[in-house]
Amino acid sequence: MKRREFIKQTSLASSLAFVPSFVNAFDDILLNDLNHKRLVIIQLDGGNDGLNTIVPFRNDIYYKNRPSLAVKGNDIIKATDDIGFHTSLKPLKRLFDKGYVSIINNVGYPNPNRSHFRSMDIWQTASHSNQNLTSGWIGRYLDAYGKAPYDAIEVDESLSLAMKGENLSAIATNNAQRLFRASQEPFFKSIIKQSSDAHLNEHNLGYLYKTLIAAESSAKYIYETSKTFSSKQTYPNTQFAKQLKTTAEFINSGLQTKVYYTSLSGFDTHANQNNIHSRLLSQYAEGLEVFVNDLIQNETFKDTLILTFSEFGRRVKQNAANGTDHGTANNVFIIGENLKKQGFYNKIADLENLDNIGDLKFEIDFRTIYATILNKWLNVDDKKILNNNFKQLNFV
Amino acid sequence: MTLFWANHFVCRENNAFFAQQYNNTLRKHALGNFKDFTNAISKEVAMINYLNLQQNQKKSPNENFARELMELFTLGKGNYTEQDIKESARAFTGYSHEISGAFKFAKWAHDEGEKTFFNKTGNFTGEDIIDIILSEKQCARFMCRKVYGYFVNTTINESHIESMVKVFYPDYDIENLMRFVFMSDWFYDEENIGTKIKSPIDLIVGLNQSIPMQFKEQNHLLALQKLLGQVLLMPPNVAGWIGGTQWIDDSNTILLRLRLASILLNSAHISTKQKGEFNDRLDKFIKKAKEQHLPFKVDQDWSYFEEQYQNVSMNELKNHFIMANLSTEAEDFLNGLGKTSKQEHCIQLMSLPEYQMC
Repeated sequence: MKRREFIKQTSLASSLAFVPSFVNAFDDILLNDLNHKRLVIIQLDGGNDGLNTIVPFRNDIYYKNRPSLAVKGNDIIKATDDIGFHTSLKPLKRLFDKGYVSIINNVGYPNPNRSHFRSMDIWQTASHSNQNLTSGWIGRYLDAYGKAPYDAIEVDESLSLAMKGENLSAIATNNAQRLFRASQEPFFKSIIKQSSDAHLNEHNLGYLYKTLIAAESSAKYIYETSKTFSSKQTYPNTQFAKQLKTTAEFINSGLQTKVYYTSLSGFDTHANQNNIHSRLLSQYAEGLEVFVNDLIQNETFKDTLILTFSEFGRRVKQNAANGTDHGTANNVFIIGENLKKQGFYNKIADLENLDNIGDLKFEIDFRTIYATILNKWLNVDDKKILNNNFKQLNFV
Repeated sequence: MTLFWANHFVCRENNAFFAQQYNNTLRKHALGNFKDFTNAISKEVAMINYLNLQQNQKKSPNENFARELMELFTLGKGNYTEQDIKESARAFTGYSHEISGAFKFAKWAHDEGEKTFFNKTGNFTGEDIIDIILSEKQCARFMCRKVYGYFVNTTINESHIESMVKVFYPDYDIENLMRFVFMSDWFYDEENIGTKIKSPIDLIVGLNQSIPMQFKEQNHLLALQKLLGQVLLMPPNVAGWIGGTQWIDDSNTILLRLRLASILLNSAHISTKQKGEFNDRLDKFIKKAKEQHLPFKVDQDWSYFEEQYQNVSMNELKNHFIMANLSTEAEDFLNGLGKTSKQEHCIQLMSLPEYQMC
């Protein structure tokens, strides 16, 4: 092998070291050197009924509007004199009692959009309701502070808008081995080997080669790091719990990833809500509790913050099909070890004061939660990512 | 051409009948007159629903359509004032539709009063507004840039644009414009060939043109579009698909796109045999193992391919599949590959990053 070729090939073989120079033209702050904190996002797809999740069980308006749907009497797990958890949330209540949960009520945004599609985009891109952004809030975090796709992982088959930046996007995988195998396709290895500087400099074609190299090295890093650890906890047998188990294995194996994204879908309960909603909430709470215990056992919980949100809540009044229609403001759960504000962050919704459609009015802009997490937890400049100066809250 | 327009007059419609009607309008005017086209779109039920023209009434104007008409459909951002939007929204009041999907002008909702738009005053209708917009040369320039970015090169050559504007303005004959573009010498310049990234639809259609295929389950084709980030009739928002490098904006997409030909056509197998290697049995074994995990079940018509390329030699095959310039390294790489059959070699070519370019 000629000397020149050798240098060329080895520099590509260790392409991890090579990635940052082109992927990230902005800062050379190495994220991991500054901060070991990480964020896990749990997205509840379809619009979770927040009012039947955290129940105002002393409120007549609640029972009047939901004759067949309201959570009643002994089914309520009381948290305070007038607020309780849904029956299925016992595991969440246990975490709550340990001070690991902060519940932020009435979270939303001005001029709410009641379409799943739009409202989810608004939450994922942190845009105004009349603005279309093409990058997600975590994506822009990667743009400004990331260095490789593995900085954020979506534990799924494909990537959400939230995880896409203008210059750097996260990587999606629910099976590190499968992703690794796909990226290790011998043909691609040969292509990467033969790629030359001339290739890499070509405008669009060079972009493709660089994206391929970054994908290959991230897939390799994730697989080789995570395969050293396998969880000892017994997770429930659900898709959602499987995602959390994979996430825990990624975290506990020492991956330097800053953000993990998971989701649980099926919350669009227009008809026969009771059973569906109960089942989903127990999947959520049971999976979550094992996940937290898994992290505690491996001493990684203290550096992990878990955010749970849904694209909107549901209408106060139930519909004719024993379900609820798309609403607006909703509760958001923050889960972590050393929360500044444990329990209920603010008061539960005022059911006497609804908007003209009969939906809750928002009190806290969801972007102030993002701003707080970015600034106080991930230790970065939230204004640079959200392009706005949002108020800071004090849950972390 | 219809796909180009679907990403220009961007619209989403859940009613299948209205969506079809909208798509037919795109097809009808695709090579027609841009003024007739813009008017037809403004009266299309799908657009009336999508950009809230129904809610645009004399008493409470809704500016959504008026804004996008100028920003995205005709002039481009910064070439009009907020006042222009307000005034023109008034002119489009009363645009409505019948249950059948036919256009209906609701006179009672129309604002008959005087409007001042682009320094002209009169009691303008929606059609008048479109006339005034199209009399601006900027509109022709905006459209020519869009056509150029889509069909020629995302890096714009201003002198080419000016020559296009001369053809397009003031008649706005789309067919003339396209003829001019395709017959210009610069259209065939090396710098304009194989430099754009294929859209997911370009990629799927391209594969299908070379080797006709049939998805065993229809919805797999839809799932594939979704995975690749472009579902027909479902643009992400009114600005449409951004395209370019945005088509391949993450690790998963690049891996899927490079593996796509092998997944759809060859049980996910790409041969990497070097010249002189003999391991057909191993190849067959790998192929069979991979087959069990394929996400898409597809029937391919390789006989069509064999017939089309029967007179093309193995080494010439690349000229038919790769538009982009192959570097010497890539050429060497291809030459070094063992080529057992045209089919295997075709899959190899389609798995190169260069195949993603058009």
